[in-house]
Amino acid sequence: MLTKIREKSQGAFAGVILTVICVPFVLWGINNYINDGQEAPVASVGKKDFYQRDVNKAYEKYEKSLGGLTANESVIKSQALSKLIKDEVLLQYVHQKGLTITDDAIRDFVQALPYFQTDGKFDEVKYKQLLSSQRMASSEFVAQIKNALIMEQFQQSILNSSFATPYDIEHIFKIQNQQRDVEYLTIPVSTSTEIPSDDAINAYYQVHQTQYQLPEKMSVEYIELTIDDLAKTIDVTDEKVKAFYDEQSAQYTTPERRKISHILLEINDKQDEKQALEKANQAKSTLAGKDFAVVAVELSDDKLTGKNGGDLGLFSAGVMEKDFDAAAIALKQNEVSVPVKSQFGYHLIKVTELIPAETKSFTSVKAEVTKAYQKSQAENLFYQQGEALTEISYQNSDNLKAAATQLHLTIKKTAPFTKAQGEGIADEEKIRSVAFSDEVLNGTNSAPIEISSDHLVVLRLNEHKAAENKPLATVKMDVIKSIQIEQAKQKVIETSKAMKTQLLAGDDFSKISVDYKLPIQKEAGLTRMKKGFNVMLNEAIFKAAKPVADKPTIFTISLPSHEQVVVSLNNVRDGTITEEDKKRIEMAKKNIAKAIGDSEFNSLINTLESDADIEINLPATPAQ
Amino acid sequence: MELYETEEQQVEALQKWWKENSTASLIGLGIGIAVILGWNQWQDHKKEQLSKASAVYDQLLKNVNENKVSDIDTVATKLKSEFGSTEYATYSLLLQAKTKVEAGDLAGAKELLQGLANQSTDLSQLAKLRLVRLFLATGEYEKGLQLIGQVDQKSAAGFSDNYDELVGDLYVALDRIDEARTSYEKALRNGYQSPLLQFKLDDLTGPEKLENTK
Repeated sequence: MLTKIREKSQGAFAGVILTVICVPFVLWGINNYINDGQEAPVASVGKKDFYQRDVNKAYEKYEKSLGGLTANESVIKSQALSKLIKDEVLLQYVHQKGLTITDDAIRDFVQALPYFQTDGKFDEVKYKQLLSSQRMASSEFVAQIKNALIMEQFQQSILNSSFATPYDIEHIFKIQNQQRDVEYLTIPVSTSTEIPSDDAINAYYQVHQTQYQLPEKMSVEYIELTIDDLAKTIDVTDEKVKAFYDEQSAQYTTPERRKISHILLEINDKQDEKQALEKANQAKSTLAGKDFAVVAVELSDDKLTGKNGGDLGLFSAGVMEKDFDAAAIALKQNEVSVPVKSQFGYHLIKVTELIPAETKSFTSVKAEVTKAYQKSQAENLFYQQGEALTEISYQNSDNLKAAATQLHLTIKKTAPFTKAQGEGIADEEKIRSVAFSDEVLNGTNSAPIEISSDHLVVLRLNEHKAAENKPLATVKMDVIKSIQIEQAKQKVIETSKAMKTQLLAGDDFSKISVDYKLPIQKEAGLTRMKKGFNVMLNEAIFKAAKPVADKPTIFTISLPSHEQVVVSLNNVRDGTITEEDKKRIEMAKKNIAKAIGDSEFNSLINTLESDADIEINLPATPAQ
Repeated sequence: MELYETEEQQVEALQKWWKENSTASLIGLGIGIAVILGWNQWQDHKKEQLSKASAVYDQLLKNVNENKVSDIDTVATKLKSEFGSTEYATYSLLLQAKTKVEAGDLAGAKELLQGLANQSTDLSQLAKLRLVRLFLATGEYEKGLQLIGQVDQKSAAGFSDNYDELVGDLYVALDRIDEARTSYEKALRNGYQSPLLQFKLDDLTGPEKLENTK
């Protein structure tokens, strides 16, 4: 249904921040620090300036939000810049309009994010860890989320208020469910076996030179920095590892397991506090001779748990009041507390199961701790060395030795690779595209390439081999085949043109069929979604002009197989809303409203943008 | 400026000045402080009002998403009466209009959008667009074309593609296919992204395209 209307989600502003937040340790803008401090802004919106590093950040964010969709890098870059500007325009607008979001709404939003949760609950430690791994303060993060949510609130006002009228829906279905009657015949391709003349072969070979080439190849030398390699170089002493273990001991500890049961004597209309306490004391004394669970069934006013012997399950602090918690924590296994008062009444608490917290001993996890320690140290080192690598390889741009020596890295070499394919690190598209850039081909070091968040590479040219023509003798058979296919294609096109002329002159389809000995195929009531029907042909039929005054529309279309199809479109009938459609009409309504809302929102942003004070000064040479 | 010979004279002059002007100075100072405090309080109050309005509005958005029709009007009315000066009051009108369309009350929706379209806010163009779509739905095609004709081209520049599409729709309804096609093509020319528009345009292919085969 309505396949043309794809879910094209508008930028969910908060979502985009998060995709970035939650990718650990990304080296923002490391390539650009050299100009830091004296650079001119790349773009400005009102009073807000954006520098190259902001644009780079926006680019990475945008690329991540595409979720692996790859497109031309310069296209993505310009889209990212345009989005950065649009977002800023919107942000300034919503601030100017005084829109806001309550602190409660922000807290609810952040706490509901799975990234910050452990077992479905907000985990403050995890939250802080994730933010600090991004070198971001909580206040900064909350401010960003707040802005994003305000923008979303405005966006929702436009999108959610968009509607589809009954006319809109009917109109779309009229087209969507339209039926077309066609006749058509397909002209097959018959490849000739005739051998072309040497001149023709030579001419074709000359014109289509690029098809008969060995591709351009190159190899590079490179140095790479990885967290794993760095981790191996981190010195370990027992003291350091022990200190790390002490600091991170929570990681190596299984928390205490404490199961509790209770008997509740309620304070309510029927019994006052004194009576409840008295009953509690009596219950406590009966416990001397009776099982706790039995007494719970008999006496507890908490009927729900009483049935199960008063079982409250695993104890976790903070659910009940302080006094209750204090009592529950102080108990030993199988011990029963004195009556404890809460807002409900008096409780007798018993610990039915107690497995104490266990911290794995240092010696038993030493290997694991050592690795974790090295890794955590290596992360900091990676960041510092990444900066050093950028600096040294930039200042000594005609060799890798300087950087390799100072950072104790080995210079490695790749095997030759092409723009399209390579092995080792050249397997990465990023590496190949940088390697074939003018900068590297001219003999300078590349800027650091971030293969992943823990892997940086700097490369320079080792060997370059330009594309090379294959001699005609070796490709002659290929050329002959291509010419034969070309000729056959031409012939089919000519036949189809001749048929069309005949049809337009008034001949009918059956005569053509006889003349050319090709069968007529008929399709009455063809729909857009007809299964098993050639998709390209279907699209062409539905894009064709409607017949005027009972005169069929004649057209031809060429298929990827080079066959030509000659079509006569005889009749078009408006679509109606079928019973089947009615079942999903709500969804259709939503989709149409959403498509309309999206375009309205875009136009609104464009209007704001054209009113805003925007300047863009892209540097003359594209940034790395 | 007078020159004083001794410190005593200076002190004396100051005392004299103070005697004459102390009341006025103190009153001035008092007013100053009051104005600052008042201003701050007013700002705080405004902030608090906005924050409250935002919370109420979030509730409204939620009701719309969950399609709780009866609650929508209650909350929207509350926003209008208690927080009428905030933008949220305007947004709630848009949401209310949508709810009315969903409930089949096109006349009611028209009234709300007409009100918004007459104001000169950032959202009046949006309201006009939606209003004309309602005219299209109720068969008032000429009225729709007329309203679009009156739109100030310059201030509506960002919406020109939406208007062109809508004009195309109106012409389709009037069975003026050539004009409809021209309008649709005009809308598409500026790189306007609308899956529905391409879909609608493809249905209007003119006979001249017939020769244009691959």
